[in-house]
Amino acid sequence: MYWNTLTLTTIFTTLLYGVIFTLVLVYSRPFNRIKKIFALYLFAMSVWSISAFLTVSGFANTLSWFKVMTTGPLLVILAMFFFVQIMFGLRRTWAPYTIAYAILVILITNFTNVMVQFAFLDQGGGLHYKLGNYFSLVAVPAYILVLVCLYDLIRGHKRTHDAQQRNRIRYLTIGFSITIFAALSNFTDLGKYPIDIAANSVTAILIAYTILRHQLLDIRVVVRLGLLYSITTALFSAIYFLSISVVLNAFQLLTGKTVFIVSILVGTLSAILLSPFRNLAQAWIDRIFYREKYNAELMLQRLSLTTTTLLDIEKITHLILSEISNTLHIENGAILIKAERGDFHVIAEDGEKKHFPSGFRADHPIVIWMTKSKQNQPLLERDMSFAPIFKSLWKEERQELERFKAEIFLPLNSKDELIGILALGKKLSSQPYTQDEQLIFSTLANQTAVAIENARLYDELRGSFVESVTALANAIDIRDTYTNTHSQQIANWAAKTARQMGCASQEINDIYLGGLLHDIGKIGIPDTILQKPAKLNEEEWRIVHTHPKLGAELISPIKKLANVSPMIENSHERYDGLGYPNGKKGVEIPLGARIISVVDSYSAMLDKRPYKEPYTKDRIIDELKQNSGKMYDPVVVEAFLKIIHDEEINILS
Amino acid sequence: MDESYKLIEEGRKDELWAKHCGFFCLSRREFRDIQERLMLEQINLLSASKIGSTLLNKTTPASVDEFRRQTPLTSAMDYSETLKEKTEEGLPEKPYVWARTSGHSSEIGPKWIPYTQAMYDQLCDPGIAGMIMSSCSQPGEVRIERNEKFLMATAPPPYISGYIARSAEKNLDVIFLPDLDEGEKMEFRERIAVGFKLAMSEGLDYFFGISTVLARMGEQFEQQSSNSTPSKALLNPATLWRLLKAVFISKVQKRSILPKDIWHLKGIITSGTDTEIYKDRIEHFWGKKPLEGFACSEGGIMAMQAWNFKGMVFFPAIAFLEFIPLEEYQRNKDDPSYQPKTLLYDELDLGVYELVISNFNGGVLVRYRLGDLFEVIANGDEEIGSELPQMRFYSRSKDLIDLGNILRLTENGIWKTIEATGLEYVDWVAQKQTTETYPTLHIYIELAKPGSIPEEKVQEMVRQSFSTRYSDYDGMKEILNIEPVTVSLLQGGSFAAYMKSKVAAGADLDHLKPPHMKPPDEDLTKLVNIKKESN
Repeated sequence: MYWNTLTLTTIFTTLLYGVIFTLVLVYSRPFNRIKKIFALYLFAMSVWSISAFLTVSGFANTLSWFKVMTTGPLLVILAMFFFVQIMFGLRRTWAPYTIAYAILVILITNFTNVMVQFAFLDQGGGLHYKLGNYFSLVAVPAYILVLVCLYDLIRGHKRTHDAQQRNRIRYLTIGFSITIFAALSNFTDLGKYPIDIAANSVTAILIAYTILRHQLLDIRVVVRLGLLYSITTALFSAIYFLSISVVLNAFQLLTGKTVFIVSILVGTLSAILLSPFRNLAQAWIDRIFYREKYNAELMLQRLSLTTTTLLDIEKITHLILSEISNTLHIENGAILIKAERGDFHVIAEDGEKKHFPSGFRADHPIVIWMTKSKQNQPLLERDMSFAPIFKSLWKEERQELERFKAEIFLPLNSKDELIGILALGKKLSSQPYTQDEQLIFSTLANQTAVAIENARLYDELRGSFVESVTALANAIDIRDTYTNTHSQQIANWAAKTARQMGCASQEINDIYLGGLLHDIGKIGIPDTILQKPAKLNEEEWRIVHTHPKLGAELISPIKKLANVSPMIENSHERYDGLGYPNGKKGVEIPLGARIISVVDSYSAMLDKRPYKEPYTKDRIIDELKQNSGKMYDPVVVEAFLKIIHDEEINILS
Repeated sequence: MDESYKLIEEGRKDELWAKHCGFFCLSRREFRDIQERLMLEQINLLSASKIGSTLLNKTTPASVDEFRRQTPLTSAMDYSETLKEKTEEGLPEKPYVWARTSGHSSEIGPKWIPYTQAMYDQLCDPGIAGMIMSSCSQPGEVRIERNEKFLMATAPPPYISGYIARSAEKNLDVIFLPDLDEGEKMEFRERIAVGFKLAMSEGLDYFFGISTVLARMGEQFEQQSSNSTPSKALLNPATLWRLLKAVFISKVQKRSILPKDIWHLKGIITSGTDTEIYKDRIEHFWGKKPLEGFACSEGGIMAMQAWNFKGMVFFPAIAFLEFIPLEEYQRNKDDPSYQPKTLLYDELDLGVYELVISNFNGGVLVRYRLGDLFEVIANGDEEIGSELPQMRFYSRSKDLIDLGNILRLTENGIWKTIEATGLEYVDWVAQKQTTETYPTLHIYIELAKPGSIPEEKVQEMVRQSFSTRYSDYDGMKEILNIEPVTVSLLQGGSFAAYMKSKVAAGADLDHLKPPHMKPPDEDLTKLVNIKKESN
């Protein structure tokens, strides 16, 4: 028995295959055709490893076991070939002849000296052998089979869009290639080293991982990560080595315990000092080699910051879609949110192919599927071809989805409720989404759901606030005999005028509320005055003139109406300073108040009062124009008249 | 949507399982949701078409409940113009193909059923489900590979079974023995013979078709002597290998060669009442239990047994399913103006029901009474993890023989009763006859060995078997003081002569044999007298 690298490697590989083979036989259920072939493959690998051990250990006749070992690769190739055939459901008509070929080669190799002329171990356990002249010739068909396998695997990889299947194929291709190319070493002087057997160990681990564990990691990630960490490790190892060498050279230390102690000291010191740089270097390497994921993480960070500050659903959703499109280079995307009846409507779309259906019904299979799967699980387009629930898709719905070419749907869940759906089309590269990307999408979906939910809650809160204010305004209007929608009308016109003048949305909102509440001070005016069917006397006018200040005082405690209060107080001021209650003029008067003043006058002239008939539109316009720059701000008058003009055109058309 | 062969090619067998067999695990509610949603789509398609609008009484029901309340049940007569003449005008969608029916159970005889592209495309889905389930032993196990060798002993296009084969070929990449283009040009017998011959050299993975074919083939194998003369086919190494292997197995087991020694079938899928009769024999001959399904020209394959070969489960997306309970069915039979109430699949409990279907995907049949009765044998099946009603085919409604409201006899029931006698027979027919006051059953049997047993003895054996199988048989005999069953023996060769005369008259495949139950008087007279006349 020889104990050397050769024997140890073969023992290790034999044990490895033995364990995997047992696991497959015992635990792999159902034991179908593909598993049987895989078991055969493992058996062939085991035979190869055992015969290698027996060849190099000196336990048995070296030549006999060397011959068996030589046929090992052939058995492995054959098993590989049938494994790939079954995996892709292929049935090559010539496939059965390969078995005849294998039997023939095994017989010739093992029972003649044509293929292996001699093989023996020297006294040191070194292996010496000579292959026959026809060996290469006989090996050619086996290598053709390998090429066929690789061709099938590559074709299978190209055809599938399933990330897991792609991974499986990648692992298999790598594993098979390692085995076969390592076996080529037997044709050279390297054959005396256990290169092929060592390679088989690597293959065993790779393949077992792929087949039995159904392989859940993206190989690109594994390989890349391995590479990245190797680079930093290599880089810093070199630095440590250099530091140690420099110190040893400087102190002329070449032998003895001191070298050992100094090396440890210098190494530890270098490690501590270089630690921060190591992280920095790793980050840079991540950035260079792992750009897509790096960019996606940056995108998540950006969105996390921006979406929390935004409260407008449309803005949020558009921002998210455009970020995804730009970062991950996808063809198109859409976000749907839940409407009142449970239907889902598209709120934002991005990309060149905006063919997304207007929405999903509440009973749409995608909605049902997402409602039932509580775990934020993404729905891939291909999932729809096999989950039974999607059999209830209507033809029209199928066609709509096909037009959009959606590749992945992500549920936007908030508190266990489906509040929206993020639909993404294909990547511009036409590559399927990797599992890493799907993971990023899940994080993104959570983030989006929170942002949408916040915006929705804000909308609801704002809605109920506006409803309360409107109810208050209506209560004032009801006391007024002229019109009970007066305040609502003023608010609408005022908001339109503000928009026409290019005000910001928050300001428009305040002006709208100012319009609704401009008469709130009338609450303190007696009915006898407010509802007097004749002209008011001087005292009565004095009382009426107190209402803007009263209104402003009334709402001043409400923080949310802080900007509205001055509008109400100044809504009866004149541009030339002759108004009340403070006699302010020009831009001293808040813009909202200047707008409400014009709009309120227009409304008053348009209404029928007990003491006057309604003015004609032309007369009102003349009045406004004549008083522009006197009672009213000319800019506001111009903007308001444009609105009145446009509204009339709309009505006529 | 990915075709099934792609899923096999990519090793996505779990998805293939989910696609075709996932419906077994639907809850009753989920099953109903799928049904109702597809029916809503169909209502919209119907109401936009001339025929559909007429069938819907010119209204567009807003819900499926409303549809069931407002729309009357229909029969072939309601579509006579369209289905007899293949009229495309006014249909909800343009037909892609027209499937021919045998006309056995229809008052208008053979008719044509329009199949839209969408209906045609999913014809093979239940068939693939059958293939998977006939060959698996546990959920999730898929043994189908690409290019499986498939022998289909059914009628070619324009019969629905022919279209199912075509659709399967497109979706699954199966190899038909013989090739469909060639096989469709052949006569039925020739096609089966060529198919099995090819199977000798190519192998055989699946069989789909009539159980009788498999049972008869097995019997032929069993009766064959081992001294058969060698044929040229043995020159083929694959054929020779199969035969050598079979000879070896049969010698070891000291019996004749059986088909199971030659082929290792992955699955057998059959439909029809004879499956129940032949299933044990088929398993004995072919080494595989046949998986039973229910198919009809009006909707394709509609229900299938699961891998435990027990009750059948209906597919959710083939047609909208309604069921008339037996009491309602009887009430409607007594008073045809009465509109029987229907139940949905998820509402069924143990009992017998008549099936009513409405096509999906732009088909034309609306609340159509197929004339088939089913029995719910279990409210779900824990073994397969299904809570859906487990069904078995009970009888064609027109075949049901009711003797004085005491004995309700089905084809299957009578067949099993005859089988239980142990008689060797060629075939049989049964007719309800009213003698004096009470109805009785008259069975005509042709023995395999004519004259081997006297008629009285056969009658006694059959009566005894009835008495054993039907608990009410003796009661009926006693109360009414009559013999409820009479047996007459047909002359040897009667069935063969009958079929020969039908072939000569140009009858199609489905009409070559007289129906077992209630054959028309004309056919029965012909069968009884055909040999007498030739003698």
